[in-house]
Amino acid sequence: MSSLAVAVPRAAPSTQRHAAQALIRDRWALAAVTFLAIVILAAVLAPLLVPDTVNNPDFRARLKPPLTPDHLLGTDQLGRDVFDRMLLGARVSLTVGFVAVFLSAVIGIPIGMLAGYFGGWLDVVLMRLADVQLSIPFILLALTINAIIGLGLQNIIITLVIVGWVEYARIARGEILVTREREFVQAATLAGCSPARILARHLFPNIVTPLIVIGTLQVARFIIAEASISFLGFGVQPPTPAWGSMVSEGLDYIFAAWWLITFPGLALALVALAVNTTGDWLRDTLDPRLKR
Amino acid sequence: MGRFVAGRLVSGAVVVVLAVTAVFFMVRLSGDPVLLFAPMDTSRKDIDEIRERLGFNDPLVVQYGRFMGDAARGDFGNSTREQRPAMEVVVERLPATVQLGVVALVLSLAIGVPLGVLAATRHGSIWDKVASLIAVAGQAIPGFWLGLLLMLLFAVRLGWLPTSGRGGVQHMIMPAITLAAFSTARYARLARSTMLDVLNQDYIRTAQAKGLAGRSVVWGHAFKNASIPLITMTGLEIGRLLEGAVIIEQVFAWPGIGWVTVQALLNRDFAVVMAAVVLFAVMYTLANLLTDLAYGRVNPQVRQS
Repeated sequence: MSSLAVAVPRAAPSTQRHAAQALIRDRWALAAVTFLAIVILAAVLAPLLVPDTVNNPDFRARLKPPLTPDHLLGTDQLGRDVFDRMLLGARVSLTVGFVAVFLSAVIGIPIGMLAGYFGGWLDVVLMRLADVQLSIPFILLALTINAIIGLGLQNIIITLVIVGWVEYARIARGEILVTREREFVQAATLAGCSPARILARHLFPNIVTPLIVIGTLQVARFIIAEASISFLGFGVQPPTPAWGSMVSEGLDYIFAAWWLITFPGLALALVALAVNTTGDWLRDTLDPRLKR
Repeated sequence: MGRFVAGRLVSGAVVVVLAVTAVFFMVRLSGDPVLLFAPMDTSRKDIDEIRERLGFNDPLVVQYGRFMGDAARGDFGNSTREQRPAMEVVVERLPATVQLGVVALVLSLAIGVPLGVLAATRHGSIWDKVASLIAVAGQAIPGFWLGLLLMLLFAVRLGWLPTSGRGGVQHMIMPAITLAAFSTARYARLARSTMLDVLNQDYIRTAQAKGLAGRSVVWGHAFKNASIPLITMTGLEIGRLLEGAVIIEQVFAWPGIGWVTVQALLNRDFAVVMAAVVLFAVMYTLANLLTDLAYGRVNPQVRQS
């Protein structure tokens, strides 16, 4: 029994050291991780960095261009500081991205594992659901759900989880279908391990790496999805600053103030780029099998 | 072949029916359908009357049966805002979206595929770096922002193009380029990686050893095989273009089905939303069917099965 358990591959300490060394070697990945760390730190500390009056209009300071004293990235149509609002917007984007991906994974992975391991009606229902979801554009489905369940930060997260969990279930299912045929799983089955033990101790550690990689890339996708939804007037509502709704408000002043559109969008693109770069690097480091 | 097409049509129809079912129950279970579209100050009595008239007092299963029966005849009810058939409101916008989508698809194929092939055949060259850069940027830049940046430059700064609306060719340029940019990135990336795989195969080396000209090896031998994943991707890509159109049409006020659907959602006009979901699902399913048929033509291995 104990000799069989050895067959379960685990991340040895040397793997972590290997990852740290690989990160230092890869300049782009290092830059991306550093940038993300700064943005996360700024988002966490934002309430301390930003004055309480950030959402209060100041009509004497309307539409000031960037590099105005006291307003590094200028002010919006109500005289509010763009940089301060972007700091608060980072909280929205990062919260939505990470929480929605985490919840989608927590719901989707067990369902996908059960469907892949046992098959049967759960598998049939899951695959049909995946087909249906693929046939409706992601953003249209998210907008419809959001319009139905209501707007706001919490509901945009729920929306993305409703749309997003199927992806994890589908991938976990596919990974299980391949992994359950491997010898160590058959050995565990013959040794009399319960399905619960096989799923948790033998299968899960072997499928978790691709799921982590996909989850990381999904964070960027969800951040952009939330911004797009907020841009279209759903999702996070004013006066709460979200990068997508900041761009949307700026659209009305496109002829007067280029910075209102440019900077929140740039922040979005840079964060998405940093998350994707980190995800690519994770994939190359943790799972060479998936390397392009 | 006929049986294959019939089978795919049936499973496509099942997907469409399930999609409509899902949206029907989502909309109905979310609350009182009358309150969703009635003005805030409608009286209790009027609301009850509307509910009775539109059949919202019947059991949900009965409502579902009636809805599906009507839907099968193409009747999705009236748009509450425009007081005419919802499907009509959506379908009349179809040409605008198809026009935008086709132009974007042609652009992205014409630019993305050669760029990817060039990047693969000159691995490590400037073309390779440009292709990689576009692929990376395409995954990180939000579509609405790219559209607005183009608008800032070409409409606001330079004044060369109109900011929005549909009209002549000049109205088309920015929305089509924005929509195509992301497809181009995906095509370039896929063309590059499949070409790299194929160029390492033995038969390519054989062709080169025979002394065939470089261009003949690249396009005649390698690209022919590398094109299969590209064809498969085109079905998915049509779906992604439709998805992109939902947002891009909004940015440029391009009056297509994406635009009309978002307006319907903002107005809580759910009959139009459901008609649009059906139309999207049908288009997606047809695109995938066409992809499978094209796939069968270029890959003899799957023709039999």
